[in-house]
Amino acid sequence: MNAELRLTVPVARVLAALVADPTGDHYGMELMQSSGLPSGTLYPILARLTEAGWLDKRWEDIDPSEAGRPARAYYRLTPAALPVARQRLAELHEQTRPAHAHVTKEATA
Amino acid sequence: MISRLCHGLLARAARRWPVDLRDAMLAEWQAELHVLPTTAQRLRYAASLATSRPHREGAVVIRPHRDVAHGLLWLLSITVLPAVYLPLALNWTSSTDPIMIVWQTWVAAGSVVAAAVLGIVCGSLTTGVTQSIKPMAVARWTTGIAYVAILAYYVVEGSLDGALLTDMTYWALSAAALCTLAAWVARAGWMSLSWAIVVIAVPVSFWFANLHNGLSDFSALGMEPFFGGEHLPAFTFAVGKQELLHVIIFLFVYAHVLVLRHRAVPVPVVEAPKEVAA
Repeated sequence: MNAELRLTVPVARVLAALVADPTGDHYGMELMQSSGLPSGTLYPILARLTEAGWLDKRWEDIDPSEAGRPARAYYRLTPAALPVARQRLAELHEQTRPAHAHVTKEATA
Repeated sequence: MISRLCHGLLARAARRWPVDLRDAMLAEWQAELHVLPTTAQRLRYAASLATSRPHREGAVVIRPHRDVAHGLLWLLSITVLPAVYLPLALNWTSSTDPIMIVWQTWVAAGSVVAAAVLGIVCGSLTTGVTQSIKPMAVARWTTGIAYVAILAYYVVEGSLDGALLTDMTYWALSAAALCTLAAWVARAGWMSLSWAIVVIAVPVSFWFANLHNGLSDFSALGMEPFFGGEHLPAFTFAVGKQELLHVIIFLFVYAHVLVLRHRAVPVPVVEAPKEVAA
């Protein structure tokens, strides 16, 4: 897995949606809703994460004629990527926290 | 109809993806599109994919015949279209009566939009041009060739004089400089700024094209009575209906889309022979 992935805000949004349910199977439309990203932004990110080894992609096991719809592609964080994703998101959260939050925390301590 | 349009947009989007991912991505998008409940959602989904770029560029297929055809189409578009449009547009821009003014206002606004749209369409259809001409030189070639074509039109029309020649020369120089600057800025990754420069280039070069004309002094050319004596709307109308303005918008948008759509052909990596490498 390539841990040196550039964590932009859209990538962080996708990772946050995946980390929220790390064992669940996520599909494009659901990730668009949970990340708030349009399809044109989401799919390149999913492809980049998959190629970097952060995501496993598998096809839904259905018979399209019985289900009445084509099979979907499902994404899930790889076991190796989950702790790295959590750590990178925590670091990003720390970096983007407003300055007064640090002050309040220190004052409380 | 909408369904076909959406599938067409998805197919177009897939063609921009790397070959190894193309079929899988298209199948995935079609599966998602299938379950979207409303037409608006389906259109938004497909349009967003069609207007975005993949995470990495697909392999560039070198097709010299296609590039030559694109080059010829580009040459025809920047020479024939202005030469045909300029006299045609004169028929509806020269009349000044109150009823015609209302009509002309709408047509002028429509022409500005249509010129930009046509530039985008032509730029998208002739992307092979930048395989023959360097992207940074596209603006210079486009304005240079259009400059010759427009001057030729004025010669045939019999209206070319020293003043017009000076104005058009200043126009071509300013257009080439500003559009090349926009191309450099785009190459640096600042897309929005590059488009802002193109937008600024239109009035600046248009001003140069009218140096010996009242428009460069911000004159409304006597149109105020049609706009309740107001100068600004009258001046906007006087500028907006200028057929040369529409040609300029078309040329600048066309050239800039070509720059933005350029994809470099990867240089093949030649490995050194083992004995030499050793």
